[in-house]
Amino acid sequence: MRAGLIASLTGHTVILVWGLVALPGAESFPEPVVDSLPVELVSLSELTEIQIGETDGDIEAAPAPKPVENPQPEPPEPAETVAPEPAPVAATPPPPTPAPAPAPTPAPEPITAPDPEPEPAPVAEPAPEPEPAEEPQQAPPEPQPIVTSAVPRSKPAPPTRTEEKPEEIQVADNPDLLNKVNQALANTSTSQAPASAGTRNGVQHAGLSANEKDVIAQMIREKWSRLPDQYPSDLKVIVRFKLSPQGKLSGAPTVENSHPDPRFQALASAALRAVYRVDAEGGFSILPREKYDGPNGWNTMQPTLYPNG
Amino acid sequence: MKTDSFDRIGAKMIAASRTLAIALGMLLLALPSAHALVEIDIRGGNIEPLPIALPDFSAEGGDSKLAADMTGVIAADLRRSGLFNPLDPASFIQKNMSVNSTPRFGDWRQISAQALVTGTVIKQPDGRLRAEFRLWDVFAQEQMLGQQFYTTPENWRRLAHIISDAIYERLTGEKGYFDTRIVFVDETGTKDKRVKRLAIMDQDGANVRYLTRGDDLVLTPRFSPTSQEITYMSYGGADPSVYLLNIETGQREIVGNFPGMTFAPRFSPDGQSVVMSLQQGGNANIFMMDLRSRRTTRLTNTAAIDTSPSFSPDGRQIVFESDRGGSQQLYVMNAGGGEAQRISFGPGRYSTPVWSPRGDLIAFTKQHQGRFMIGVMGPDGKGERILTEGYHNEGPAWSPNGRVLVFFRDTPGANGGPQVWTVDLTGYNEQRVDTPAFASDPSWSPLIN
Repeated sequence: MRAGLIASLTGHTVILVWGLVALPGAESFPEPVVDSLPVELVSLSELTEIQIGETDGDIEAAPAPKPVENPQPEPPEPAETVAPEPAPVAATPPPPTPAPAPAPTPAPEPITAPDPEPEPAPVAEPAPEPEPAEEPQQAPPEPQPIVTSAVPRSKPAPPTRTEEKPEEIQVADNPDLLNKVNQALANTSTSQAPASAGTRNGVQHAGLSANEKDVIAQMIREKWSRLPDQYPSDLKVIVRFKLSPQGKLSGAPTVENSHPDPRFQALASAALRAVYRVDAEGGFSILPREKYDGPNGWNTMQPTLYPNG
Repeated sequence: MKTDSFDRIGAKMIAASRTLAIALGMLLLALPSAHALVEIDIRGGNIEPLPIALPDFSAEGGDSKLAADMTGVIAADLRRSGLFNPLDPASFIQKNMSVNSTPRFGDWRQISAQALVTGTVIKQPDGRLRAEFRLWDVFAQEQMLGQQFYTTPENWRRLAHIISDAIYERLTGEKGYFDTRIVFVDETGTKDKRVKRLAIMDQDGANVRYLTRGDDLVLTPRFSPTSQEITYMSYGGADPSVYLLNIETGQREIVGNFPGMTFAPRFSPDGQSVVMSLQQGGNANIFMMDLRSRRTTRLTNTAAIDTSPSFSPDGRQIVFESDRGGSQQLYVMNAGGGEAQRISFGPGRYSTPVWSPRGDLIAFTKQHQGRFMIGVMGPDGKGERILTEGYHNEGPAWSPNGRVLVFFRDTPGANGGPQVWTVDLTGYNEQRVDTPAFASDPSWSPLIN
């Protein structure tokens, strides 16, 4: 009992003494250096319309002012603007050619069984050529400016790099300012990193808004005839069509899928008719012109129509 | 030597890798274009009747009245379906259409037509008629359908129905039902002294013909789904019995030789059997008779009244009405008999069930609080919907495409009587079929052609 108490006291004393001696010399945890986070209020559109750019490209606009160590270069010359060339007009839709009236399909003789005169199967006669259509020719769309997708519209013009030697007089003329900047720099750690250089996946604009898409969907839906039926849940009609910048159909809309349901073809024809009808009423012309170009532009649309609602 | 072959293999691998890299590069280049689409999901659509223009068919060789009448029959067929809205001919801008010229589509778009039918009727030297028609998509500016037919002049109405069916099928994707007939019980005389004859007419009420003379009381005629035969109940013999009648030859025969009254007959989907009720004392049970072997099979054996059997279109099940649970309700059993599952649980009494040709619905008559209703429900009893109700509605029968029900509606009073009506599955398109006199127990034929 007594021996145990002594051993316990001795052991604890040794551990405490070792701790007092060894721990103060231990290496302290590294203190992480945390950059300050700038906070600013941004609108939703600023957030969604990420600028296109290259993360590894030249930084063309420094986000933070650098101390003037060298004389200011000459103000950058404005970049050459790319003059919009008259573009080849997006495939003028050929005037509707009068469909050559094909010979009618011979159909089975509709004679009922009790009718005494069964007739041989009719022979399809070649139908005469149709008269030329008197449909007024559609005026070709106006020439459109070429799509300048390579030039981000909102990007500032890059400064022209000059090889001229900076004028030293600028430094000499503003020593106070220079000193103040240097002083400020000495006291703060302003980040030199750009807020955002853009990403490869960035876009020029975010494309049509949800509201704009809803308007188009509503116009097509109202004009899409379907039966008051329940259709198979996987039945859908995918339509694709191109639009001119004025919001007019450019070429014929096409159906991009199929389905074994016998009602599919009727639904697909009705979907194409719906697109034609929206076009005829000028429905697509409400789309904002500035969102026409680019990867998210509305130059090509692909509605998917589900009859079940 | 070995080194050379390794070099060659290495060179090939490098070439293959290069090709693969180029292919991958091209794929990557192509990917952004796949995203260069504005994709929009659209759910639902409109179920408004489709505006369709039907200018009078032209008549080559004379009979312009016949051509106009044919156009009128087609327009009436399409209008009655509730799915089409034939436009007023007075609004047409382009006149004197020829079937062989391309329409001025702008003129038809201007009056909101979405489809256009042009046609001609030509009298042949041998006296026959040749009819041609074209169905145009006014907005796509293309022909959707073009057909021609030959027939005898007296068949012109049928020809019009056939053209209606073709237009209907192209624009809806489902079979039409215009080239069909309806068999029914024609009723004349006062209410207490009715003469009942079997009669048949086109689905639009035209071309009524009488199949019996009215000497015997007839009830519940039912069309064969595969032939021009009907089965019905008649009081012609000692006991009321079920008969078969070939409407083309007029040949009549009794179905089976049962000791007791047989009633409520109906064909199986293949037309080879008839299922019906046999009364035994105060009970009635369901029997099936094979029309080829004349062999009969008992399907139910209860102390209740089991009647109005109707096959599912695949022939595997039978729906019928029974009061085995205390009141008239609907039950489903296997076609070979056996245990039945009750499927109707709403308030009121359910009777005269008929399975849809599509298989997805069962139509019935429902009586509740003094009202008679025609409704539909799923084969499991779910999704009950009442399509029409009133003083007395009874005896629904399906059109061959399963979209429309024909039934009869009685009117009260000394001068009242039954009339034939149709209603589609929406319940909104309800129309009377004109008959020469009172008419009950309608049954729809399959498509004739």
